[in-house]
Amino acid sequence: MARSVLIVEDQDSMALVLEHLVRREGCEPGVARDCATALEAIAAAAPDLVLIDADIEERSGLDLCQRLRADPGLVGLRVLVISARCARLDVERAFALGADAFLPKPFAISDLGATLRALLEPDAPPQAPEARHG
Amino acid sequence: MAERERLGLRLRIFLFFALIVCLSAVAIGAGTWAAAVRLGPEALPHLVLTGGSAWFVIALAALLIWQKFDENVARPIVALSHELERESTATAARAGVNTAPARYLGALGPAIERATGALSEERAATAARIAAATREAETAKARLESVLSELKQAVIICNREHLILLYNTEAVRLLGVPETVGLGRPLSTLMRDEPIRHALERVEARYRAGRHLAHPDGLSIAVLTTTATGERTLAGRLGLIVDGTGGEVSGFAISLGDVTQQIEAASARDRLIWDMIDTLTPPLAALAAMGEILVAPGAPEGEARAAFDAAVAAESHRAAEAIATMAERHAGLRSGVWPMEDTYSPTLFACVVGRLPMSLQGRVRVEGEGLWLHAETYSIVELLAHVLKRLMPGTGAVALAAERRGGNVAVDLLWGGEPVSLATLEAWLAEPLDHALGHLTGRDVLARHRTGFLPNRAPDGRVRLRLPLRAPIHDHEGAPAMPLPRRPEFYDFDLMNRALPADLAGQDLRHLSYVVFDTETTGLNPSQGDRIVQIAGVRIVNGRLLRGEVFDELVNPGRPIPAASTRIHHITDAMVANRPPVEPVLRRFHAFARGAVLIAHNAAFDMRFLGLRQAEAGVRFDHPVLDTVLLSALISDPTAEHTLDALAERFGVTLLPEERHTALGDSIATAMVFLRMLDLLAARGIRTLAEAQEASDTMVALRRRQSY
Repeated sequence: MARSVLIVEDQDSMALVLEHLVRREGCEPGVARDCATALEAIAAAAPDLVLIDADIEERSGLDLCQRLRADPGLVGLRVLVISARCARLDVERAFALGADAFLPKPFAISDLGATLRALLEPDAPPQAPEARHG
Repeated sequence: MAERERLGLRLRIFLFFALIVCLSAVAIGAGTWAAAVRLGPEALPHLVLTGGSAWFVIALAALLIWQKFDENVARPIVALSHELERESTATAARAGVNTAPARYLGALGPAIERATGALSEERAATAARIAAATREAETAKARLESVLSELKQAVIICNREHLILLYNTEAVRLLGVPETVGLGRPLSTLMRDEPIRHALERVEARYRAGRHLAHPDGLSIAVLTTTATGERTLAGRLGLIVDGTGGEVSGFAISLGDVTQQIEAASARDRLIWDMIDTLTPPLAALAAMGEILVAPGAPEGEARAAFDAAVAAESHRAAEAIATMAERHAGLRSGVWPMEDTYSPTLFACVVGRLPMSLQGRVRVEGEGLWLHAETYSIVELLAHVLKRLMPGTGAVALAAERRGGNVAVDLLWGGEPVSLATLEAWLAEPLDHALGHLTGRDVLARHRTGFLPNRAPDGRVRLRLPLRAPIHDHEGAPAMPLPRRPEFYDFDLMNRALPADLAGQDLRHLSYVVFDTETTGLNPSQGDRIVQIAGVRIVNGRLLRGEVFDELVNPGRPIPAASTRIHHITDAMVANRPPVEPVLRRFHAFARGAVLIAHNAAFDMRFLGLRQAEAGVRFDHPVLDTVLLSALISDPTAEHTLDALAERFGVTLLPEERHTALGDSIATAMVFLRMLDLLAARGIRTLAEAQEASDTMVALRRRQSY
């Protein structure tokens, strides 16, 4: 069965790009434009991975990440954060708030593919080895 | 004492001779008696005659010898001692001691002459040394004053208690309100004190540990603070003032400049860069990913491809727009890093000509009117000189001129003949300028000033190379805005050893800070609607009247000024028409009087008017108050008059006629009268503020009783 990935992204072109790349990895993409929609979609469809752009809605992507981690029902959920803010502090904060991997924008599409694969492997460690730190 | 001794010398000598005469009389008498016993009574008449003659001869000889002795020894000694006495108390070198009377006293006269000569020489030398030292001190003081008044950095010196001992004109300009800059005032009224205290703590710790000897900054440290209101950011250095080497810390000096603009410009630049990253990253990240996807194997096709193409177009457009917005914002930024300043074009051109070789100097002419402009002058001078050096071998005479052009001021190079090609000009601008500018090229200087050369032709047909520069920031037309005297009493080092009065009541009247003030009003009845039309005051600090620190403001009373009142103070409705209402003026006067004792002539009257609108102004005049009328009553004849004119006359205070009956003139007169009263008050045991107030209260009670 195809793994499902929820993309939380409000920028149309980036959502298009992410959708394309997720599909190319053989996963089933879904797109949420904001945090509220994302929470509903997660509750309804229970995706395997959430790909959050931290820069959405006044940078509330990390808040979403934190809320997902606070939910005991979502222990197995993988979280990949992408962001244009990629100073050491921003990366550390993303991991502290529960990201399994972090990719700075702009990214190479091969990096995204590799990170997705690593995170979706059946026995993947909580933190993907390819995750780049700023 | 010395007088009695000197009289005694001649008397004692006379008595000595008299004793000889008496003793000879006794001896002769005894001899005569002994001879008469042996020779019998018949020989007595002969013996008496012989004895009497002998005594007479002895007495006569003694008298003569005494006379000579008195004349040649005793009197000269007395005269000499007079002379020496005078010489020793003389304040200046004199013609010398008259040693003529000492001609019979052997070597004494010449010895005295030599001694007094040496004394008077020494005295003259000392006087000369004192005069030279005084001149030197005066020169040093004048030099310090002129340096401080010309300095473009604000300089403030404070004692350990953070009271101001010295400040310069720039400090007043920078820190704004003249009513709060003043000697003996706490520094915290001018600027945020905490950063200063923090810097002081650090540099004092460095000094105590002896680390200042090896420290590159020695006894100075950087400070960054703001004005008391926080409006301006101030940056500068603080230096510790130490008495002698290794001595106690007696205070500190701060030099400050306004860096508000630089800091604002720097943060605006920072913001711009961050905004640029934030707005450009999303479209660029999407574009980069889409580009990769579109060229990779398995690229989307058909409808999906169309969606990608549309997204590429949209994001490219967004990125281009973001760049355009940023460029616009960048152009609007003030150039804050370079020390730009207002400069006068004739000064600028003179510097340019001065940078040219002698052979070219004669061929450069300055034309037209002088204009102010805003630039980093050193680099602009170097740039213009560089262009002229390259240009002039191929041209005849070149004229320099400044011209207003829209909101800018253009600097023009004008010559007859062929224009210079853009390519040549660009090549010149690519060359590095002076070493001092760190290999900066002409193009860099133009970029810093956000300008460039415009080659065209002047209306008279000459070739023109035009350089637009910014208009001046300050208004240089008309009179300078600063009403302050050029060198007022800006310093008082006696304050060095004085602390902030914790308890004013017990303070010596001589060491208190005062604001002596006077108000002019529309009439005498505040309860019937009379209002203040002028407030003036002057400060007394450490017993010195500071004519340079005055408050003098007209107030719009919001009602017509009766002609009867105008006759007294000469203030007309027209004069106050554009003046502020009383509230802001009260606030400023309150700030001016902070920490001071208020003094007025008939203070109750003025205090009544101040108190009337203090609530509206949001201040409270709860200062200790002294009244020169009451103080005068304490120290003079009960029937004496206590008008300000009478007091001024009694205490020898003279004012120019045009000063008298103005609020400021009367304040100054009252202040001078007060200062001269202090000795008389002290003589009556009134030395502290508490004693003065108590005595005044008694006087008020007494007068009240008399008037009932």
